[in-house]
Amino acid sequence: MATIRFTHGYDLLHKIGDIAGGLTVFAAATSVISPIADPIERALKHSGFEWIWVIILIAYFLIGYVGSIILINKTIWPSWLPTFLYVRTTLRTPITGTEAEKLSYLFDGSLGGKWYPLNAIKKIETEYRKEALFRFANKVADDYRWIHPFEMPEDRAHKEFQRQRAANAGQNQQERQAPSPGPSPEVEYSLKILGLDAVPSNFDVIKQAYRRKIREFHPDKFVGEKPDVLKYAEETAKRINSAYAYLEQRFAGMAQA
Amino acid sequence: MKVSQCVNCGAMNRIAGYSISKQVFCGRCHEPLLEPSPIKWARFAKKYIYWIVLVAIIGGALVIDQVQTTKGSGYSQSYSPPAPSRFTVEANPGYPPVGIMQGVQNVFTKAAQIAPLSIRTPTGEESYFVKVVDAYSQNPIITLFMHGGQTLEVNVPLGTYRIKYATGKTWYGEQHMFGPNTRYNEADKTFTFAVNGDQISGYTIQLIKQVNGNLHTKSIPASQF
Repeated sequence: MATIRFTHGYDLLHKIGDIAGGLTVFAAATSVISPIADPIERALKHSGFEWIWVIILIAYFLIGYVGSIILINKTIWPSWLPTFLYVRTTLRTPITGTEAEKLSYLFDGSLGGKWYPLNAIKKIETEYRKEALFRFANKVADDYRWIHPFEMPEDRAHKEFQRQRAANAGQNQQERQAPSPGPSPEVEYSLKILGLDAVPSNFDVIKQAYRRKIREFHPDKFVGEKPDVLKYAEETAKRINSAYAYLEQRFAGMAQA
Repeated sequence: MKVSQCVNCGAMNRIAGYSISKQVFCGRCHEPLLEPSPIKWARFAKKYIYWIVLVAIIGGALVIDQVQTTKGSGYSQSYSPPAPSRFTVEANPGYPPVGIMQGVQNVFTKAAQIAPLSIRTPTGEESYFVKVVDAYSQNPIITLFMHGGQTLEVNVPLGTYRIKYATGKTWYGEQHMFGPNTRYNEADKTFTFAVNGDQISGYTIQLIKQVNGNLHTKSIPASQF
């Protein structure tokens, strides 16, 4: 038997809206078809086939009401609306409707009834909140072996590297040995993790980016959250530390200079 | 195979045909190619199909509601029964005529009778036995007897009703009505008596033939009366 799960207040509000909106649209649809339905009803009743009319009514009620709810969920009352409102108002993170749709599984109880309040997101600086949210959504997707709903900068860099490698595979030896004009893929990947687009002229820029990032994603900010959220925070901090360690090793000379 | 020129770069593109599901793009500059209007509209309709259905339902319901409200407060619905044949001969039915007074004959409900119903009959020798029944349960609510050329005003309880009536010249009581030549009719529509704000909607039904009358009736067998 299907279970209706309520998570946050907006979810409950949405479910109530589903019932009320579905009834409204269903009533409107009934009104629209009444000029056709009334003569059929009379004809069936007068000809002694009232039971057919009862069957039609039951089928109409079931299909019509479910259809009405689907219709409002596809239009004025979209299923991602509770997530959108929760993230915008409670977590104070600016996201779009499309992003809310992709994030819904974190908040609507569809993970076997489990959902993540993620109140720790509010402790992060506004400019990093969205990133933290999307990274956590990707982490949960990993746990369930789903495709990442959000492509992060380092994912794009990795994809670009893969594409270039595939393209180079068909070229001759001389072309393959030609020096690449940009930073190596590993450097670019590490820079993207720290939120940088290119190798800076001074290592201090990398250091500052690292400090800012590790401050925002430090596991201490996620104290009191669910164990898997804490684990996510630790993994993220480890990734940032690894990226910084690699860049520090790679650009040590620049640091000394 | 069709050829379409790109308005952006001027390249000539060969295309197999236009499709609602796939938009065609220029092979050189990758800009969308011009398409016939029906294809564009069909794609638009496909994209916004749920919105179109929703607007159609809500809009249709509002229009129907408006039409019904206008009709309900019109108080001028007219109908004329078919004229009796001039050569009809009243056969002796074998039971005596019964005297009857014009007015309400029976009230079958205890609900408050607050909604006005006015019925006018055409001038003539024929009399009318009118029965107001519940539209859903078919239970009788009230019965009236009227002579030709009369107007009768009564109050009925709130609800949705159907109106049936029997016509004839000589009344033989409720069991035999107007004898073997009784004609039975029923109005095609239902009549809803309801409270609208501080007003109670009612109806005036004229059983008088009028050009462009807005109430149609149908003949029914005695068993359905």
